[in-house]
Amino acid sequence: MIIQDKIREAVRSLLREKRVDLVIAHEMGTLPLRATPCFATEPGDAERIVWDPSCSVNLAAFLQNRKGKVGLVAKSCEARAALVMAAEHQFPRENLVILSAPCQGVVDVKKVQRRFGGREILAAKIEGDKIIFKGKDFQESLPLTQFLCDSCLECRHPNPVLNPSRDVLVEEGSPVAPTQADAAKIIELEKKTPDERWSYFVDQFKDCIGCNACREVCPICYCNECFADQTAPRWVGKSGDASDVLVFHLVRTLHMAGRCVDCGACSRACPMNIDVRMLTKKMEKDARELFAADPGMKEGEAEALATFSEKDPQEFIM
Amino acid sequence: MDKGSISDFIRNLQKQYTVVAPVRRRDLILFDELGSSDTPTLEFANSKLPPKGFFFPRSETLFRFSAKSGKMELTPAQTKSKPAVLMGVRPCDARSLVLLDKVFMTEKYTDTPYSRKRANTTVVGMACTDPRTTCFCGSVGGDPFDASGIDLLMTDVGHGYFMEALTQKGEKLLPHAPKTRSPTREELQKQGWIKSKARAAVERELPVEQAETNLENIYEDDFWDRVAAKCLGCGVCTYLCPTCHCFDITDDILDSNGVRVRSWDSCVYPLFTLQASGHNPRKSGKERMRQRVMHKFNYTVKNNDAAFCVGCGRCVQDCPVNLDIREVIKAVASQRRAALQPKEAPT
Amino acid sequence: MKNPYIPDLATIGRIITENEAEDIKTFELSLNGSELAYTPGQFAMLSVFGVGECPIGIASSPTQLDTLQFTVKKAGVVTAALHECEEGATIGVRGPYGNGWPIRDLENRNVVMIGGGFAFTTLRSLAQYVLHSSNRDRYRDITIIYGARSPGELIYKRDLEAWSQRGDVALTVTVDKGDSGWNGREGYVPTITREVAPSAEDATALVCGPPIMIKFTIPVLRELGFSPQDILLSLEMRMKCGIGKCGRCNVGHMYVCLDGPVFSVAQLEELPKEY
Repeated sequence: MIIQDKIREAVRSLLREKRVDLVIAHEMGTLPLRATPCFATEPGDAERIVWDPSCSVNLAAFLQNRKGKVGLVAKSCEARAALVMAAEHQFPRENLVILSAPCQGVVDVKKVQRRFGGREILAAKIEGDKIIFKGKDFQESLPLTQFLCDSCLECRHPNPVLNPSRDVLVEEGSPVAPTQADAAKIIELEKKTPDERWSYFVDQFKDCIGCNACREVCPICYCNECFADQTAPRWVGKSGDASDVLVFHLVRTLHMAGRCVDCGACSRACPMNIDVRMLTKKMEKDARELFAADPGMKEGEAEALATFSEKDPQEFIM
Repeated sequence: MDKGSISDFIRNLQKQYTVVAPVRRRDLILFDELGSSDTPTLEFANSKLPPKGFFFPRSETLFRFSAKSGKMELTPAQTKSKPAVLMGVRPCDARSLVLLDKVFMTEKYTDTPYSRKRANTTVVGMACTDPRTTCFCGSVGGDPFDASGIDLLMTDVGHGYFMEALTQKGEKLLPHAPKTRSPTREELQKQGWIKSKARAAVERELPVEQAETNLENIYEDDFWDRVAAKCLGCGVCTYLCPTCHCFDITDDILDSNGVRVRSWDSCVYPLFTLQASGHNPRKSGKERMRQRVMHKFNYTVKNNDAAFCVGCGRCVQDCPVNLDIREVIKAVASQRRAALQPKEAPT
Repeated sequence: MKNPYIPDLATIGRIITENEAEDIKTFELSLNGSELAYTPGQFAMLSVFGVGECPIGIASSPTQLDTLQFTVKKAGVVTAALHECEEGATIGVRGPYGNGWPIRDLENRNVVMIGGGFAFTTLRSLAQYVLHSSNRDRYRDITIIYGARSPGELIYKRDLEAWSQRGDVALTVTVDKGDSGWNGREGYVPTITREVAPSAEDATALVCGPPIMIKFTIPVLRELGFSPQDILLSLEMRMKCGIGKCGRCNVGHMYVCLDGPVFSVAQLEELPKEY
């Protein structure tokens, strides 16, 4: 609660002093545990801003094609995504003020749905490290950690690294402990043979309807014309064939190499409960291990896959 | 019919029909063809994907073409000849099929890939006894016990199902239901009580008609900048919507053989209306959001006498940014042109 | 019932390159065993199998019994593929679609056709139709104003020549900018329309051209006294099904493939301006 108040105060100042034209943040949504993006232009709008585990959108996506000076109330992953966009000249860094604080993590509503077997949750209140769920004829208090997104449980950078001369860091003194180990699921995946992995992913993506939600919620997927939509030549067919479905996901993942900040928005957005992050997480791990890629952590740093060093590993070429 | 007889009912049906029903897969409820030993999931809120996919699939081959020895040959795709039973359809979704019929089966042109499946399928509805808070069928001309589009209506009364044949097609299914009997007075009372409780539970107060009227006058307003501001153009709402019917037609080839495929498309995608000249009448999210809302709540009323929304609430549940169509309807309904003081989200 | 998405097969016969830039070609097609009963102003979906389909206005007139012509400008993926096709190639034809020019309502009226550049194609179909001996006396005065960017870009040169020899049609051809060999009129189509000043009395104007030409021609016609009901346009949109089902080509509640492509300015004033 206290962080939320400090953020609101910081937003109020920014808007009052007209240091930005607009602040993008989360406000309360219409469903339990779901916040929704809000666009604050007046100091009074700051009242609506929330900062809690219901803030599940990656707001950096709203920097695409935007003009003017913008304040972004960002979790660490959103801040990193914004810095990747700035490094790639998608949004001028000098026009961006990031307001951030150490992040406790975001609720994965799919885990909630799974836990309650599809029974509707009418209200949910986060109190400290517990969530109190209320349904039509039940009430339960459960640990918050049970429902955090995998991307949050496996987060390596829950504490934002900001530029003190530009940004606003709230609650400097209470960092969150990052994760060190790689996810068990990824270790399992790495043990499979290429054929096994192919079968695994064909099965995982069998229900993909090609809605492109994973792409659109990702701030790093900002291309005005995605390769998947090009018609001359048509790289990705629309017949629903497994090869077309997988080409889209595999190539998109490759395009994310060294750029994905592992926020998990793709998996949260997928309506078919596909863990899209299995691909991006593996890509993030490979880029980190092979090229020391750590996107968005150092302002202005050239990207791992956009730079060549003689020391780059080459064992996969020879 | 007692709940215990469901399995036998389906086996009996499977002698004559392909049975497609809701099943649980990957923590989702999806419609799928039942195998000879499968049982459906009949206790659920609603399926993730609407049943429109059975008649208007995600992607479908229209015809094959091949240029053998210089001669082009077209082979139309075959429709399955075995009739089908589509079971477990909620009244909102059944009504969506009636609405889609108005688009796909017009006086002038019949979409035969769609119409043949419609003619060949019997729809078994499952009355909505426990609507969700995101359900608003009552605001758009629907009802949890609505009969539109349903051939045989099943109602879950706890220990068994009421089976009401509403059409000739539905009547043909009744002989396959084993050990059916007339309901007792208590059972009828219980059904009545469940019905009125369900009807009271759905949202009926959304100002849809006022929204339809206001939409005539607010086309040029900055209001749409605000509505569209948080939409990311992801397309989930259109794909999960029972009445969305936009599609694309593309060719896929390998050597000298190919297929022409019809696949789902979405008006919220940027390339939807892009012309070869480079001109795009809907080049930003604002125009596309406006088109979506106007099409659903105004244009379709003009063309088909009905808003193309059945209040199923899927778009509300699954929008990644929680852009709630109910809020949009309320905002449109409360727009007064003269009093409008736009607060723009700067672009 | 026939699947409306399956095209009829047609063989490409003669291909005529219409302009100097060589990006506008007229294709003569002969349908393999089927017929296309159409009226001027309608369009068909042409298929290049393996590439796709696109909507092309029918350029011939139904009075030309032995030919079916489409004039195609190379602009996108399908039109580029069409331009690669040679005589003898097989393509697909689906149609005719659209409402076409209102040939019944135009009877006993003066007809003013104003066309610019490549878009002249369905007006040429109408012109062939109304000027045909079996139809001519049902229409009163016929005025045709046609312009292109330069003399090399004028299309249907044979038809323009034939019409200029006739006494029963007032033809004005103009170019935005002439060249050394050009001794015809020079000027933009809206300007020339103002100079020609066709009478609005009992007249309907049909305008087909690039958006900028239409934008400046309509006010000229309004000045001359044409009412919005009597100015007709043919709209173009991205299309896929051609039969009002894929949801793509709508302007407001009307589908350009079904309720159009011909709309009066009066109708368009009631619809949102998204075209």
